[in-house]
Amino acid sequence: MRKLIPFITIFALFLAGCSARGAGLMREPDELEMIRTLGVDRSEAGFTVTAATGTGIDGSPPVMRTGEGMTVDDAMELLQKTSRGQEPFYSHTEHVIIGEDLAKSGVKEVLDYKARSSEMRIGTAVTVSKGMTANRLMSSAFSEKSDIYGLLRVIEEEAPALGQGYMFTCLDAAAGLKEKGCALILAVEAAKGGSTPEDGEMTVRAAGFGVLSNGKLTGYIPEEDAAGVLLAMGKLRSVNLACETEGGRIGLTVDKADTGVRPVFTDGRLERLSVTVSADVSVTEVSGIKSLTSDRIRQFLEKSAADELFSRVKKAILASQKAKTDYLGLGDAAEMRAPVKFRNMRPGFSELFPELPIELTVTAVLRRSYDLEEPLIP
Amino acid sequence: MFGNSAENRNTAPKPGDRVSSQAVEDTFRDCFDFVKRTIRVGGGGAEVTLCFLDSLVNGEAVASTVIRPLTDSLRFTGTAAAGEIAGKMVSGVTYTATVKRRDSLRDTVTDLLNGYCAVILDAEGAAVTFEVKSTDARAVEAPKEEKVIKGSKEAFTEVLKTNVTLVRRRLRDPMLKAKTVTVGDRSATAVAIVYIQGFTKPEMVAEAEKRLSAIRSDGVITAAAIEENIADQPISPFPQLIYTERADKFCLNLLEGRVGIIADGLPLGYLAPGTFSQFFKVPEDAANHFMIASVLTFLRYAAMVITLILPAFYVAVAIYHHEMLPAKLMESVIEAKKSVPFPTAAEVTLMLIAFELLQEAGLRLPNPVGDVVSIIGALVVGQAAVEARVVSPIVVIIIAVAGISGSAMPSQDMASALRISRFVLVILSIVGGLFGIVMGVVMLVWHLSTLETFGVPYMTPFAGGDRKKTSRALVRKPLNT
Repeated sequence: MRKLIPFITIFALFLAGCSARGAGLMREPDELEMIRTLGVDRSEAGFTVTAATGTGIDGSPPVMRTGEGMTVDDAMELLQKTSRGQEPFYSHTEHVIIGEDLAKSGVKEVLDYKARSSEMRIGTAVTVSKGMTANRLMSSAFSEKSDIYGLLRVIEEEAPALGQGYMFTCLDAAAGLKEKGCALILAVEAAKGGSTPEDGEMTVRAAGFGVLSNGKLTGYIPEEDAAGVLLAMGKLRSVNLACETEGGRIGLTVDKADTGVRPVFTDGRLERLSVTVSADVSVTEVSGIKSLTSDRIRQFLEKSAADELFSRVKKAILASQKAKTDYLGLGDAAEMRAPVKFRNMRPGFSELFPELPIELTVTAVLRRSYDLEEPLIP
Repeated sequence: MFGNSAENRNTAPKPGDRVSSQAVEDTFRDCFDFVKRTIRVGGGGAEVTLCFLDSLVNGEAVASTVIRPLTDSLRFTGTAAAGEIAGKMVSGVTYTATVKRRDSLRDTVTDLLNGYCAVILDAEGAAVTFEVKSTDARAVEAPKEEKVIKGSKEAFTEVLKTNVTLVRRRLRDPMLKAKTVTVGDRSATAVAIVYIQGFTKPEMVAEAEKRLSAIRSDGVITAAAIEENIADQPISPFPQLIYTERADKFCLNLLEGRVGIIADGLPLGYLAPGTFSQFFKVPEDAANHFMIASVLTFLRYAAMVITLILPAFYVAVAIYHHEMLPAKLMESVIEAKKSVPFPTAAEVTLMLIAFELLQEAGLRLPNPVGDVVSIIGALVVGQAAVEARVVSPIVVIIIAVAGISGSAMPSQDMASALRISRFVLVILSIVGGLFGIVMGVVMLVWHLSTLETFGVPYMTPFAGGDRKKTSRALVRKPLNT
C-alpha cells in the first residue's frame, strides 16, 4: 500500500486538472508577442480589440494590432491572425482602455471576459478613453518614439501624486458594480504633448474620472475635481494648494491625508455620516511674506489649507449624492467602521445615500516650513 | 573480469592447515619480498625458521627485536625443546610489544600479511609471530576535500592505527571502543568499528558489525566496497553514510551517538546513521557564532532547493507558465531568446551537460590543469556561447547559479545525488511544466521519506513531528542555553 501512495497522489493531481495547462501549451518565449495594453471598442460586428506591445528593451518600436469579432474573445482570435509569426500573449497586459462608446453601452462583457480568461488578470488597470474610441486614443499615441503602455504607466504612477486621478483595476470596477451598482474608472484623453508645444506629438493624459452606474458610463468627473474625489476616498498622495495673504503668496503641498468615515446612528437608524479629513501640509514656496514662522501665519496657512480641501471634498460628495451613486465608497468605509450596526442598513443604503446628511470636518496641520523665516531672496 | 574461475582461485590456506616452514614458503611462492631464514636459537642446536614479508616489515626492528634476542645464548641456556622455545618467546624473551602464538597456517599467514614476522617451529607445528610493522606511511595532513576554515586541520590517512590515534587524541575516554572486523577474502582489510559505549546504541554497533562481517568480497580497496555493502538501500543515489576525512567531524559525530567505521587503506571514516539533515552540517557550525552558524545552515538548505529546482523551474516558466515571470524579466527572456536557435529545453539540458563535463574534467585533471579547464570552460561555454548566440545569457546565469548552489553542499555525495535529481526534474518540467516539477518533488520526498539508515528514518528529525529536534537541525542554539 505504501508504494501505491505516490502513484495515487500523482493520479489525484491529474484528476485535479493540473495537467491541462502543463500538457498542451508549450510555447517558446521568443514565439510570444507580449501585449501590454488592450483597447476594447464597440463595433458593428460586436467588439473591436486593439492590442499594443510596449517599446522593446532593445528600443525596438511597439507593435499594434486590431481585430474585430462578435465577442471580445472572437476579436482577439482574429487579432492573432494578423500577427507575423508571433502569438499575442495577454498575461502581462497591464492596462485595458475601454472606448467611450462601449463604456456608454456597457462594460459588463469586458469585465466578465477579464474575470473568466485564463490568460488575463482581473487585477489589470482599467481606464475609459474620453471623447473617442480606445483604438483612436491608442493610435494617436502610437509612434516610433512613444508607446501607449509607457504613457499609461506614467499616468498610473504620477496621477495620484499630482491629485489628478487614480487608476482603478477591473476588479475594483467589477466589485463596485456588483456591490453598489456604481464605480469610478480613470478617464484618459489624447492631448498634444512633446518636448515643445510646436512638436505636435500626441500624448495621453489623465482627464478625471468616468462614473459607471449600472454597468454603463453615465458621466465624467472633471480633472480639476479629481483631487477632492481622491481625498474623499482616502487615495490622495499629494496635491498643491496656493493661498494669498498680506500681499504675498504661499505655495502649499499636501504630504499626507487621512480620511475617516463614521456612521452616526440614532435609535438604530442611520442619522448621518461623519467624514473627517486630516491633512499634513508643507510650505513649498513663499513670495512676499516676511514672518513665515509666526503663529498667526501658521494658523492662517492651516485654515486656508483646510478650507480649500473642505471645498474640494464637499464638491465631490455633493456630486456623488447628486448622481445618486456612492461611487466614493463612503458606505463601504462606514461599514468597515461599524460592520454590525451597518449591516442592516446596507441593502437600502443606495436609496438613503442621496439625502443622507454628511458632516464633513477637515483639519490641516503645517508640518514643515523649512525654517526659513524670510524668503531666501528678498 | 579477467580472473580465474572460482574453483581454481581457492588455493589460500584453510583453517585446519598446520604450520610448517615449507607450507608458509609454498603459500608465498613467487613473492619476491618473502624472506625466509633459518636461525639457531641461542647459537645452539635448535633450529627455527624466521620468515616475513620484507615490504611490510621494518628490517631493523626484525634484527634488533627478534633475531638478536633469539641468538643470545644466555636467554636460551638449557632450552632445546621446541615447545620451551616457543613458551620463552611468548613470555618475553624478545623485545616486541605484540607477540602471538599461532597453531594454524592461516593465522600465521594473516599475521605475516599484517606486518608481523613469524618464527616457525616445525617440530612443534606452531609459530610465534611478532609485530614489526613498517611505519612507512603518509603523514597526517590537512584535509583536501573538506575545507577547514576554523577548526582542526588533521585529516585521516590510509593507516588504520594512525586514524584511530587521531580519534583517541580527541576523545580520551576509556569508553571509546574500536572493534575490528576483517573484510575481504583476499585483501583481509582490517575495518574498525569505533563508538563510545554508553552514547551509541548497542544494537547499532551490532548491526554495523553484522553488515561488515556479511561483506562477501575479494577485496576492500575502494570506498564503494564498504558503502554499498552496508548501506540500507544502495540503489538510492542519496548518501546513507556520512563520510569524512576530518578527524574532528568524525569525533563530533561519535559524541552524537553515531557509530564510526574506519577501514585500513582508506583515508576517511564513515559514520552511521547518515540522516538527511547531517549532510548540511559542517564542524564549523559548532565553532562559529550561533547566529552565523544558523544563517549558514539556512543558506545551505536554500542552496539545496536552488540547485535542485532552479533549472527545472526556469524551463517550466519559460515554456509553459510565462505569466509567472515579472513582465520586465519576461521581456528580457524574450529578447535574449530571439537570437538563439535551440529550444529552451535543449538549451538548459545541453548547458547542464556541459557544466557536468567541466566539473568532471576539472576533478580528473591534475590540479593546475583542472583549474585552468574550469576557468577556460566557464569562459568558453559561458561568454563565448552567449556571444555566438548558441545559448541565451539567462540560461548561463541559471545554470551557473544552480551549479554554485550545488557547490555549497558540504557533502559531495549529497551534491551528486542532487545533480542527478536536478536532471530528472528538468526532464519532468519539459514534459509537464510546474506540474511535472511538483510530480518530481512528490516522488523525491516520497523516496527520501521511505529511506532508512541503520534503523533510523532518513528524514529524521523532519519526519518525526518533533518541532524541538527539527528546529535544532536548522538552528544552532547558543551552547550555554
